[in-house]
Amino acid sequence: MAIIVNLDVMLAKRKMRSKELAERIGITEQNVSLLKSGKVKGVRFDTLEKICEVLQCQPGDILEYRSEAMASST
Amino acid sequence: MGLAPASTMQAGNNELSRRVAPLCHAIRWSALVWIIWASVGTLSVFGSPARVVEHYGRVLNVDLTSLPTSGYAMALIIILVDLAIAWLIVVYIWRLFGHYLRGEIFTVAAVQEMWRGGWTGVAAVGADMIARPLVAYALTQHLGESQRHHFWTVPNDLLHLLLALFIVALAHILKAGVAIADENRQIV
Repeated sequence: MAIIVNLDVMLAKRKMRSKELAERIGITEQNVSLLKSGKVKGVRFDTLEKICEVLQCQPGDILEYRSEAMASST
Repeated sequence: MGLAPASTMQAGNNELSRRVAPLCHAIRWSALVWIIWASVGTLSVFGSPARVVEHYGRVLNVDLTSLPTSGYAMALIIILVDLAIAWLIVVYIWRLFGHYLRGEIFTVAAVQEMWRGGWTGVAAVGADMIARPLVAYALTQHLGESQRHHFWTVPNDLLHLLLALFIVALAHILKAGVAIADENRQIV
């Protein structure tokens, strides 16, 4: 998919585990894991807001658009 | 996909299920009472040819004392087929509301049960419309042409058909609802 989820990168930068993030934003660890792997159809604004609040980042740090052409060339 | 909003949705479904539970129980048991009542009523008439002669003689306003066994047997078979379809509707109603009671509201299984129930309802109304004149014919075929009954239907048949088709339409609408709910489950 053209939208890349960089949640794992942000978690690594903040030295935070998925479990802790899940607890702090109030969703299951399984969901965080699925979000990290990009296996979801969408992210709710309130989930994104909580993630940004906990990780002290911007939505753009979590989500990135990469065109198919760019993705295949990299 | 087992996403967390699924659990949120499940909680919502459980809440909805809790709210409609008394209705679900009432519908399930009413359906069961209805079919048992209908079966007992029908079989008490068809249990003996004498009762059939007495009952249908009164309903059709003819003297059926010379009713042949073949006429009685044919009417009995028609009535049993009609009753079997009615029992099938109750099975689908029981199963559908069982899904709702378990919180499986926006599920493919529940929609399928509703769809089957709706079409069985259409079949039951059709069978009813066909069975009535057939039973009348089976019971009066030995009589003279002037006393024979070939056709016997009521306006309520159309109402029942309408209600059954309404259920089928509702099942189609809920099928789209299940797809939306499924998509919603994939949003975190």
